[in-house]
Amino acid sequence: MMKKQLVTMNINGENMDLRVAPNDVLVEVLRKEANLTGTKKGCGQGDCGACTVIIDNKAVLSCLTLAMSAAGREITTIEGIADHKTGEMNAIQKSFLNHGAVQCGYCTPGMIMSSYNLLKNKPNPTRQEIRRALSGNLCRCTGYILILEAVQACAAEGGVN
Amino acid sequence: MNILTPFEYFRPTTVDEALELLATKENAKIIAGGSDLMIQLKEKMIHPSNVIDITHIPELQEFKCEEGKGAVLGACVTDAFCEFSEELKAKFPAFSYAAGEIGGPQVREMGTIAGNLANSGPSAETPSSLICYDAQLVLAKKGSERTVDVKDFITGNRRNILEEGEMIKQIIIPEPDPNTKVKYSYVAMRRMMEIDIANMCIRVDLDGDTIKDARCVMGSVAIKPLISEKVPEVLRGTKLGDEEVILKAAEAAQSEVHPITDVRATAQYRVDVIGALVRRILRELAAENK
Repeated sequence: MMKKQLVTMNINGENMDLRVAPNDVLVEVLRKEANLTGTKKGCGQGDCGACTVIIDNKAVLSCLTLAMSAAGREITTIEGIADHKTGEMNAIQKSFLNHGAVQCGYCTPGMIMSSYNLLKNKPNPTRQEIRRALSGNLCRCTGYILILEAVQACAAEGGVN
Repeated sequence: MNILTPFEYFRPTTVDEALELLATKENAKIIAGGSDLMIQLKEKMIHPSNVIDITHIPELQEFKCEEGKGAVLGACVTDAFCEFSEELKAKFPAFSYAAGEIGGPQVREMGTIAGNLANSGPSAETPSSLICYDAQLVLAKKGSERTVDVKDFITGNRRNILEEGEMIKQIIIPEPDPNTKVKYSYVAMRRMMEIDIANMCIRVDLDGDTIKDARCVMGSVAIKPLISEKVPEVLRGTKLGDEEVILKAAEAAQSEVHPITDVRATAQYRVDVIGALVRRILRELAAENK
């Protein structure tokens, strides 16, 4: 075992001192050290997108990121997009619910993070742009149509905050 | 599974510091985006004692694309940056397009072009277009630098000319001649998140609609990007879009490849795909030149 050291990580706007080893992968640190289990680990190979988080304004894969490398960057997970004070869900989360875009739910945090990042950077995407932005997120319940509709509706109704 | 073999982690903030670490730390590997390296670590394909993270070096994030001066990409410029850069799209459309066809969106935000080259996978997306654009690499090690052509960089399956302690520092793409047209295309099992069955980039240097010179680079059909000798011979001096010439060029390319059968395609299908790619690219280039 490699020795763990205390590393300050900025997660959802909060500085957290976490125990991290040099060979720790970010998704594991988020789930086990930060107790943020909303981020899911799917394939662990960068194919499924379940572990998508946002680092410095970019949707990336926490299963292919060394936790050490993310220290000093701004990390946002699914837990970080709801209203911090009231706990009210983000518009994109509400839209997923309203459109039945969730089935088993395992891909949902990743889908929402990719969608959230898209709408933040591009408030009025075309359907093709949404499809492309979500092409790195797999859903095995085949809910893609409802997911696309949820993202499109969220954009039409004022987007994400 | 998915637990990485222990290593020491270093995070230099200057190129000199990175080169010093590379020179002194034994069995060291560079990590940038991690989209290839992390998988190799997880699969236990590599066992580095030291991992040097170059993503916190501002100099390697630099990007220059000035009027008449080609483009210079630092080693940490990402695939997504090249996919969306308006300057690159205008000047090097085939390269920008190829960068946008790597993995999925998250992988492209993480992965770097230099990493795509250094990984030297036979099915890599960007080497063929970079070779068609005469791109060069600045390779640096402690106390020295050298500039090499991308076409001479990859030597085999996951093999390249990088020496011990050496890293890619920059990618230099010279200003293209306005009469040079380059196009990249590929065939894969699905549209996104795939690994190519075969890919190809063709460059034509035009005088009106006459092809003065040409280049054709094929990927995923050999252990390294295959530069065709016969396709330029067929194309030289002909009119772009001449259907008879297009068919001949396709046959010429097919005669040069000896691909393997693997999970993605049979050898014969790959040969068929190579013919289709030559025909597709030349027809599209002709249509765009009208």
